[in-house]
Amino acid sequence: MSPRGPGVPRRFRNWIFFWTPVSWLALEMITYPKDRPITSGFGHIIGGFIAPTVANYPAVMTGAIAICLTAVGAVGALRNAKQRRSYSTLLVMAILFWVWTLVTGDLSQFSLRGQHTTVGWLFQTIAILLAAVVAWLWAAGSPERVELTVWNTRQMWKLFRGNWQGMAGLYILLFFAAVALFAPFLADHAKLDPNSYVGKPFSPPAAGFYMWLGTDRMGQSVLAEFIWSARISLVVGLLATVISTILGAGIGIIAGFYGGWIGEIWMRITDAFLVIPWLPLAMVIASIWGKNFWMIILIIGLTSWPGTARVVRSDVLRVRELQFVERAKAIGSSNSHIMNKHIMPNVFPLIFANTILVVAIAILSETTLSFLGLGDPFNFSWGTMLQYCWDSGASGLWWWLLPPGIAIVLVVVAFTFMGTAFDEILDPKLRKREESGGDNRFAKSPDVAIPVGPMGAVVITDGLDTGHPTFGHSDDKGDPQ
Amino acid sequence: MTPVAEKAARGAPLVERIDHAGLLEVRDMKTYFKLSQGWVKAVDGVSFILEPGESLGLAGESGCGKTTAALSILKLLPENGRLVDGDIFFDGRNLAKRTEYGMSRIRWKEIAIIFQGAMNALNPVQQTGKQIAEPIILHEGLSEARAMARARELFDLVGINPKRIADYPHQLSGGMRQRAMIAMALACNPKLIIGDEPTTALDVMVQAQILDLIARLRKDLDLSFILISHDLSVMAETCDKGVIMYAGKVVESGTTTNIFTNPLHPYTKQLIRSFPNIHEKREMVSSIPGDPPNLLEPPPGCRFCPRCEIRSALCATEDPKLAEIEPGHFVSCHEVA
Repeated sequence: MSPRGPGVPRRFRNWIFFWTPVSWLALEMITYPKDRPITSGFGHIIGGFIAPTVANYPAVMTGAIAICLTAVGAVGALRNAKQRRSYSTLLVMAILFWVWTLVTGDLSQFSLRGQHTTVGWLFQTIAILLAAVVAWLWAAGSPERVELTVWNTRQMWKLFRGNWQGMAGLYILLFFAAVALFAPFLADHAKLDPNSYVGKPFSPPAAGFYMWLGTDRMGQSVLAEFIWSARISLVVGLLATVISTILGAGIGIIAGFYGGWIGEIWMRITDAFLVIPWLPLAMVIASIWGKNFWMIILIIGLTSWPGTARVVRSDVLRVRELQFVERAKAIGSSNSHIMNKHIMPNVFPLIFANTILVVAIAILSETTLSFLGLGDPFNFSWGTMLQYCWDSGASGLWWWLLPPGIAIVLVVVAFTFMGTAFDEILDPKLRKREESGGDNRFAKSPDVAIPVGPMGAVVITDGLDTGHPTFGHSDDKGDPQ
Repeated sequence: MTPVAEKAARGAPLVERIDHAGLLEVRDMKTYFKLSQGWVKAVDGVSFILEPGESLGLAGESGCGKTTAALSILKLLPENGRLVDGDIFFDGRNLAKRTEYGMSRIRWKEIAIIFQGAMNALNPVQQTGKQIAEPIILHEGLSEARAMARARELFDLVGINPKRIADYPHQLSGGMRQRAMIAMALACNPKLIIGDEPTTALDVMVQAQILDLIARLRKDLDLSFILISHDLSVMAETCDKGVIMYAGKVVESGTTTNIFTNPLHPYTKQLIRSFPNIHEKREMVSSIPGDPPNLLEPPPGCRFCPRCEIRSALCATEDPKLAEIEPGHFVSCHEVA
């Protein structure tokens, strides 16, 4: 045995730790027929207490990845407390856990009833505490880094505040995020049960909280449906965007960095996805895989990445020609290291701005699918509401039709506004002059005429210009030595 | 027992060392670039020898293949570049025959390079110290914390306050960035450092500081150094040996004293004349008329022939060979030999 410990090379240990259970689960997913419970192996242990049928596999996967990331992060943090990678892994895990329990309410149910049991609350609390601890450790590791981050955030916020589009988007989003987050406190989920009605079918808005937006064809409260729909619409949009961004950015970076035939293959795949009309594709996939909350997320994520991939690739093509990439190669860094540490951070602003725009598309896609009856029948989303309304004739039912319709438009517009704002902030070329922090000396003195050359360049003239270059040596020929 | 295991058991080295002169011996190296119109013969038969602890200057005008020659030693060529012929012996190994993996073990660990513009060679969104720690982690297998400690030492060695280690490249001045690049080159204690115009983007004061620093480090750490420069004065100041290149070929090589006091090749002579001399009578600096040849189809004879003052009929048809005129002084010219 080598002095370093077990025979597995150090850099692979985390991967084996992480991928063994994940690939095991993936194998079970592929080999087991549909709607048969998981009965053996590792899946039995997890599946026994969380997922009884194949329909819940994506949820099982999320949970499994969260657990594996926890393990990897914890081991990494224990082994070398100064490595930031471990912290980020733990942080990602904490966020994943949080989203997961927030969406499902509990570890044992996946139908988005939102009734947070003791276990669900416990997990959320643990996740938030963990995130806090990680953030604190990260901050304690390097005070300078914290100072820099705070300074950067402040600068960013300054620019963002001056951008009316960004602020409008932010306010709209904060409103809907609050509605989605506090749904359990705003409206009782039991009101969504088909047996519970608050008034006569199709009654217009009236007094009383649940009657503010009238009732639908079953006499259920439209307001309660609206509030709980916000949750599904936003979560589907965000999770689908995560998949889409990881795929799009990953493929874009790989295609751009390797170039050659590897890049060609990836870009042709991207083109293929780009030209296939996504809606029929999504409909076909949805009818094959089933109309399930997680499947909808997967379908939208798998069909919305090509745009991101193209944009990211074009920027990677620029970055990979920069000299520090050559320097990294000279050092002997591996390709994955160069892509992770050198290319990705440099194209990150673009990925970030693009992600926000993709959220809008994802939410719209979810609405479209739900409206066409391909949404999860057990959950309300704004698209589902519109579909039910449409099925009931829709004429004159403005109180049922307008709230989800307006909400969708507002959220999509808000995300687009934010995306545009971030695009402007992160790309200094798009920034307007007066927004550049006041250090533009030309903007301050409008009375001085500045001669401008053909390409917008400032022409510097100095009165003595005779039309000839002045660096000849003929002038000092007669000078005494 | 396999022959390899037998050898290992005997304690004999598994790979035989190749006998060659000096620390680095480049023999007839040829690097071509493929374009749609054909092959550009950017480096066409370059040879020189570098002894341990010695410094060598590669000089010539822009586009004569200095940088390509240096990058060929490390085999860091662009995708369309090929090392088509020649041998590069380094410390008992032939780099020309090495695989990409084999080269990655040599790069930075034994031969490091200081790139042209320091601003471009540093990643703008990563802390400078982290970038210096990168090769240490990769090649020495140290933990990040230890590598950072070493990066602090290196910062101190090249004369930057170690506290600046957490700074991003844009927070450093041009000279400091160049110093950081030198620190990075020293990170794994290499035997040979290649400086690709390390002072080009700097003003004269900072340039002098950087050259002093390189000279001091060379003496303290017993490094070999290859300096690539179009500035003959820089070369005269820092190097023991000089190699003058023209259009992908070596026209003259020897000790710097030899080259500057007794230049033999007409190109070298004119190159030296095109720099003002502060010790002698003030006179017009002269330029060399004409342009370097197109390297897609170089002229059959001597490549300098069209611009040469002393050309003869032989020069236009036959390529001169590098010949030793006096001990250690090589010239490739029909008229001189």
